[in-house]
Amino acid sequence: MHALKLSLSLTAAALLSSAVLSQDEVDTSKTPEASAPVVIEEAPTYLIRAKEVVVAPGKTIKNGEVLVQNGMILAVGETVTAPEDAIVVQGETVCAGFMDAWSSLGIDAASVAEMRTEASTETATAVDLFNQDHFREAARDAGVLLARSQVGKDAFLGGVGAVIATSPAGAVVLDDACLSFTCGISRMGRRPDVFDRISEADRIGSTIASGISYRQSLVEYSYELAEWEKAIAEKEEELADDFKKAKKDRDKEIVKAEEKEKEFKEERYKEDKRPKSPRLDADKAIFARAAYGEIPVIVEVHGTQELRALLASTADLPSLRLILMGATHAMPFAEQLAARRIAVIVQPMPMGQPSEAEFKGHDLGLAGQLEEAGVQVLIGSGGSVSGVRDLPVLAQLAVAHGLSEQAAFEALTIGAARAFDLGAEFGTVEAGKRAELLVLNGSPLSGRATFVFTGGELVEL
Amino acid sequence: MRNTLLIMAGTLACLAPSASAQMDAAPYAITADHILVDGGEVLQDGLVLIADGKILKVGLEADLKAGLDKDTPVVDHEGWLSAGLVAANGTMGLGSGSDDSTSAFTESLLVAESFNGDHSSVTAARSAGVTSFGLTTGRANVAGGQGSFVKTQGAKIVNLRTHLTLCMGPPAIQSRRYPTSYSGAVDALEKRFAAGEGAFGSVTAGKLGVTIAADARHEIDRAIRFCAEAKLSATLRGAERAGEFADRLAKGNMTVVMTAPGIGSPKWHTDSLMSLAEAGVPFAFGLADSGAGAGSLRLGASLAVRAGLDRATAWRAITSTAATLAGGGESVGRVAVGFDADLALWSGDPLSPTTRLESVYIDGALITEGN
Repeated sequence: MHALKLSLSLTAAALLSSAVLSQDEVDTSKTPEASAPVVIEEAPTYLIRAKEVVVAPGKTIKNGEVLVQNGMILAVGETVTAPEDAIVVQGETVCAGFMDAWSSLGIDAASVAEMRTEASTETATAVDLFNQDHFREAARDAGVLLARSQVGKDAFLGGVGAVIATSPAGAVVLDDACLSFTCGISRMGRRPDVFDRISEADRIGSTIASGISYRQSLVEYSYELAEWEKAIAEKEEELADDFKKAKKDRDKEIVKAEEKEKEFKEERYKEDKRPKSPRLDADKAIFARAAYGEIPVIVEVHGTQELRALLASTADLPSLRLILMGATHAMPFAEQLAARRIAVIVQPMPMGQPSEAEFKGHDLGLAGQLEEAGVQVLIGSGGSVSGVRDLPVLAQLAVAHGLSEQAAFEALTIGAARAFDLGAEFGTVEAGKRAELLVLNGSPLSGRATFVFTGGELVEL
Repeated sequence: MRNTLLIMAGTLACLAPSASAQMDAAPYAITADHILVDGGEVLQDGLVLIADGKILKVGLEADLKAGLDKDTPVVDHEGWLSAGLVAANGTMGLGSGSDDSTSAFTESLLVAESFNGDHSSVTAARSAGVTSFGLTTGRANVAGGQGSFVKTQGAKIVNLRTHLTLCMGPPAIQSRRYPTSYSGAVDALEKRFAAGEGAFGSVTAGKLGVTIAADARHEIDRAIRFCAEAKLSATLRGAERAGEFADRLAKGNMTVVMTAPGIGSPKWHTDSLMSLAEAGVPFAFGLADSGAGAGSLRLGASLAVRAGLDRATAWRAITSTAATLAGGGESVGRVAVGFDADLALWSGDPLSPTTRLESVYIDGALITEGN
């Protein structure tokens, strides 16, 4: 497998005209025989033809076409207007690339295991450029082109997550994807007792709420500063307007003082004291962003007690965009989750007899049950690196246990993209979006990718 | 369950055979859209005729249905039918009593004597489509005892003595008891095989199989060398890296039982399977050394196919090859005439992760609906 890096010269363009790439045949070997004196690098245009273009979950075009150039989708339809030298790629299905909503792909392993992360710890700073190629390539080949990764995977406060692209290496698509917590999970092989678990859940709400007062103090400061600056400006204006008269009056006063042989006392303007800015607190700044819904808050939580406490402790934060991870025992709270539009990232992985207590009762049917209850379902590989490759299999397992195929596909594409504010760029096959696309030999979930468009490149598999 | 029972000739007396059905129940048939006979062989619109817990006929519905007695009940399944899954090894139903740590040599121990067929772990295996498995000891002793081949219904023991389990690695080698080293274990085993008494004699006489637990590369290497010198054709247990030794294993007529690949398993695991397949080394998936549930068997086969292993080999690793390596290959693991009617009915291709198990039959009796 190799990436096809196609650069066309003006003379080569004619040779490549109407080239057709299919699963069995990719021809990029043609090069101009004559010397090309002037070579202009020009991104090739690709025309993808598929029996089914899955534009979005539930919306398909039979025998459709997609035009791609420079890593962007230019046009989508039954037929699109393509330049003569467009390279044709054919397949059964074309759809958006998948996104793993719960992984640690692309991140330095020590940072993933770090337990002392703080709210302002940034996952994007821990991207591992050197040791993750095989995992990234395996994920890409399986159709997973984006992954939400997290440092401090098991820490109470994991910090700010990032969305990583599987290609090219080290590409960070979004460096402030979310704020991450874990609640009541086993750490160092031990699970906190029930009091600690509930305490952690309570702390999450109050911790995030501390960002509100911080933000308010910043806002108050900005108002006070504006008022102070306005007062200063007004005084300066007043002084400027009255400058001549004031100077005359001053001169007179000086003369009078001299006549009376007294010392002239300058009348000084006493300026208002400049408002004091609040002390910079990077952690509280992140909490504020979370509290006001500027970034989602992801919480890995499983047990009934901590789920109840977490939902209670966050109920008074109306702008909070809460997303649960794992949520083994979420079903008793499904109605509340649906009402509060809290999505759940499930990990539909067979666990047998799970070693960690929080996974006791793990049910592959959770995704289907949540969907039926009206809860948005996302799918993740559970914070792993190697498991990202098997994300489509996890989706299939969820389908086998009750999740609808459409919901599973949505969970892997536009659902995940929207959850992390990437819906405008990724997740569907629409003109203007990034060409992060899969060309498959079957349906989106069970087919295998034969071509992948990612990072502005075409990869043949 | 989407099975519909077609009552032929209008009789209402015929019901799908249930767990309480006796082995001498009247013949009945199951039709299915697809019958996965063994490996890659698939019959479209097939029919299986069952009586006395055995498979009487297998073929196309069009060929066989006309010949059925008019009173023969027919279960019409809209999906796939296959042999029930077979775990090449497992400790389900044993609780924690499969190892006796008082001695490093417990070769006379019959693991079947500790088998509780009603244990929840056995029921869970059955709910995942596992109808039989190789019951094996743990690996805490150098000679750990003799395994059996059992069904997941009725505590039925198909084959009481199937293999002797050996381990020359860290779980069995302990500083507080003899032998305390690998070389000590080899010496002790060589003496016992040379003496040819008891279970060791049965192994050298070819009456009892032998399984050697080996995980790391050096353990696999040692096990192969030991077998070559002792002239044993053993089954390696664990041995996920066995593919790196595929040629030597093939030369020694050795076989492998390992944990099935799971979600996120390293690439070398599936590469190892493909190397074994290429070299013609029979291998199958087991559950004894894994915390994963019985569902891991089918998922593992599915992941192996996804990684490039051919379907037939992957399917046999959880059915016929597993049965052969575990000592039950004469009667289970295939949908074939004369074999036990241990069957699984699926919503689709059992090697697809989206497929659900719908019913399980053991010895011709409907046992359970799947998960």
